[in-house]
Amino acid sequence: MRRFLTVPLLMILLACQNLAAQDALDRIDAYRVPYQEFYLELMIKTFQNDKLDESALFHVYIRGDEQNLVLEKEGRNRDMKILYNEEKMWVQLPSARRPIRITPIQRLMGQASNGDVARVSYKNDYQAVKIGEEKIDGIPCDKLQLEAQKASATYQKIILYVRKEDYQPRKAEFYLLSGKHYKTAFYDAYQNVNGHPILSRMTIVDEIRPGQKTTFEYLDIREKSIPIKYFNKNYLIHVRDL
Amino acid sequence: MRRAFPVLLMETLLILLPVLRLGALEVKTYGFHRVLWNRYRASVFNPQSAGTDYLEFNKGLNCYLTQYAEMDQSLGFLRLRADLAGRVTREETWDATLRFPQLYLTLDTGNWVVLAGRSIQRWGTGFSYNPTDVIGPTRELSDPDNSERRAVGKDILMAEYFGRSFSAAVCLLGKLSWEDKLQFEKKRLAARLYGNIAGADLSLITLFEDGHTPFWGLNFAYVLGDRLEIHGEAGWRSGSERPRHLALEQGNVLFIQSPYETSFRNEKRPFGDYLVGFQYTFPSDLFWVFEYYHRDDGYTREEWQRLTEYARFLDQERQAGFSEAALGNLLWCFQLFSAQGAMRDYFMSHLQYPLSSRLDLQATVLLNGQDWSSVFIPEVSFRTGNSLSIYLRSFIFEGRADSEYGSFFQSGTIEGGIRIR
Repeated sequence: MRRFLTVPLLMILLACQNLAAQDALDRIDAYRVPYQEFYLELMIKTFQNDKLDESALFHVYIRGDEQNLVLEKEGRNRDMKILYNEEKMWVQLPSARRPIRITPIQRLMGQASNGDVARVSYKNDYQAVKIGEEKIDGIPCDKLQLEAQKASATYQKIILYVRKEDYQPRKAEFYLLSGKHYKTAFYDAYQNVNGHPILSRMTIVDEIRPGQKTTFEYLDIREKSIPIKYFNKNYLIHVRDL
Repeated sequence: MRRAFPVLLMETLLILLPVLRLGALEVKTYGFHRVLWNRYRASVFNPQSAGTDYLEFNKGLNCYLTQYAEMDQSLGFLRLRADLAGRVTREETWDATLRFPQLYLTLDTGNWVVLAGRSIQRWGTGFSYNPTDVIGPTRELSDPDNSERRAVGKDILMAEYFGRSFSAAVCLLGKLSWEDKLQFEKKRLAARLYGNIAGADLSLITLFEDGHTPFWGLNFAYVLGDRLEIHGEAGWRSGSERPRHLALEQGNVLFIQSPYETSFRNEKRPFGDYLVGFQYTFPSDLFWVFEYYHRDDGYTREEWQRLTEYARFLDQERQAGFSEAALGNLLWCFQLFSAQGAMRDYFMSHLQYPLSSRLDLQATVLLNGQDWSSVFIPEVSFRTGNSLSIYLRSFIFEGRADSEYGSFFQSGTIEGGIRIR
C-alpha cells in the first residue's frame, strides 16, 4: 500500500517542481521584457582573441511575446530587416527587396543567431525543469534545463543558471539537436528600467571555435506603441523607424 | 570620355549627398565599381565569331562605375522615395547614364499603403526564377550583366491592405511616357492575396492584360525544423507569351518579315511555369539553396536540335553568298537565345560559406536538365570593414557544342570589383 502511495506522491512532487520551474521562466523573462510593447537599441560586437572584429547597431521593436522586428542601422548588413511573427521568421536584405523565409539558427553575425536578437522570451519556446544547484562566480544558482517546445525555438536545449534568490539569469549553455554544446552566454550586467532590473549586457562565447565571442549591449529601452502592420512580412519594404 | 564627365561630377555629388544632410532628407549611398573581361567563342549561333565581330563586342576590359543614392523624405503620412543611379561604362567607348530606378510616393495610413510611381517590387519566393513575380523587373541568374542594383522599377499605382498575418494588394502597371502629352500605356492589372496559413506563407497572384489571357499564380514558403526552408511557385495561363523561333514551324528558310511578330506559339492550351526548392543551413554555417524549375513552353530537346540545325543552315547560306539575309537571321538567333534560358528544365544549386568573419565563398551552378550544359558562378569576397568589400567572380558556360550553354557566345567572364556602402 505504501508503495502505491509513494509513486503518485513522487509524481505530484515532480509535477510541482516542474510547475515551479515553468513559473521561474516568467520571472526570468521579466529581466528582458520590461513592457508589453517596447523599443530597444542593441549594439553587437564580435571579438576574435579579444580583438574587436566587427560591430553592428540594431533597432529592435517588440510587441508582446510573439512579434519582434529588428532593423540593422549600422554594420555590414546595414538596412537589413529581420521579422519574427508568431514562430515565423523572415529577413529582407537591402539588395533583395523581398522578404525571405529564414530559420532562427541561421547566423546573424559572430556568435549571434537570428533568434538571439529577434527572440527575448523563453517561456513561449521552452519547458523548464530544475535539475540541480550550482555556484556561478560564487553566487548560489538553480540549474534549469530548458527543452524546446516549438520548432521555432532557436536552440534545442538550454542549461540555464539563475540566481537562487530572485531567478536573475547568470549563465546559459546552448545545445544543438545533436547534443553538441554550441555556445555559452554570460549575463554580465543589468540596468534599471521602469523600476525593474533589465539585462543590459550579455557575452556569448563560441564553444566550437575557441577565441571567438560576441557581446550584446542593450543601450536604450523605451516603451513604444507599434502598429500591427509592422509585423506583416509584406510590409517590410515600407518599414522605417518609429 | 567627355560624355562621362558630367556624370562623374554627378556621381561625386551622389557620394557627397549624405554629408550635405539636406534637411530631414534621409540619404544612403552605395557604390558598385567593377571591371569585367568577357571571353568570347565561336559557337553554333556565333560561327566563326560572325555575331560578336558584326556587333563589335569589346574584346578587352569593360569598366562599370555605378553610384547609387537612395533618398527618403517623410511628410506626415506621405513619403517620397527617390533612387538615383549614375553609371559610367566603358565597353567600346566611354558612356554615361543617369536614371531613377525608383521614384515613388507612398501614402501610409492605418492599415493601408497606397503607392504611386516607379517602384521595384518582388512577389516571388524563388532565388533563381520567379514564375509568379508579375510586377518585378526581369532578372536572369545566368546573365553576368544582370545584377539587382541594375534593375529599374515598373510604373505602378498600388493599394495594399495589411492585416496581422495577411495582406491584399491591387496594382495597376503600365509604362509612363511623355510624347506630346503624359501617357500611361500597356496597362495591366495585377492582384495578390497573401496569408500565413498553418505556418506557411501562401500567395495567390493574378494578372489581367488587354489582348492576353489571364495569368494565375500561387507561391509558398514554409520552415521545417530549425534549419530547413522549402518554397515553391507555380503560374499558369492559356497560351504562351514566350518568343518561339519561326524555324520550328517552317523549317530551314530565311525570313524576310520581322521574326518577332509571329514568334509565339499558336496554341491556347494552358502553359505552366513551376519552381520548387529549399534552403538549408548546416551547423558549420554552410548555406545551401537548391531549386528545380520547369516551364511547359520551353524547347524540347528535339526542338532545340532543329534550332541548332537551322543555325548551321544559316551559316552555310552565309558562306555560300546569301550573306545579308543569312547574317540577319543568324544575328536574331544569336541575340534572342543568349543567356536567357530557352529550354524546359533547370536545376540551380547555390552554396555560401563564411570562411572567416571577413572572407565569404559562394558558388552557384545553373544546370540545364535536358542537355546537362551548365553555368558555373564562383565568387570570393573580402570585407575590409563595414563599408567596403572587394570581390572576384566568374561566369563559366560549359556544355557540348550543340547544348544550350555550350553554344553560348561567351565561354566565360572574369570580374573584379568593389562594393562601397
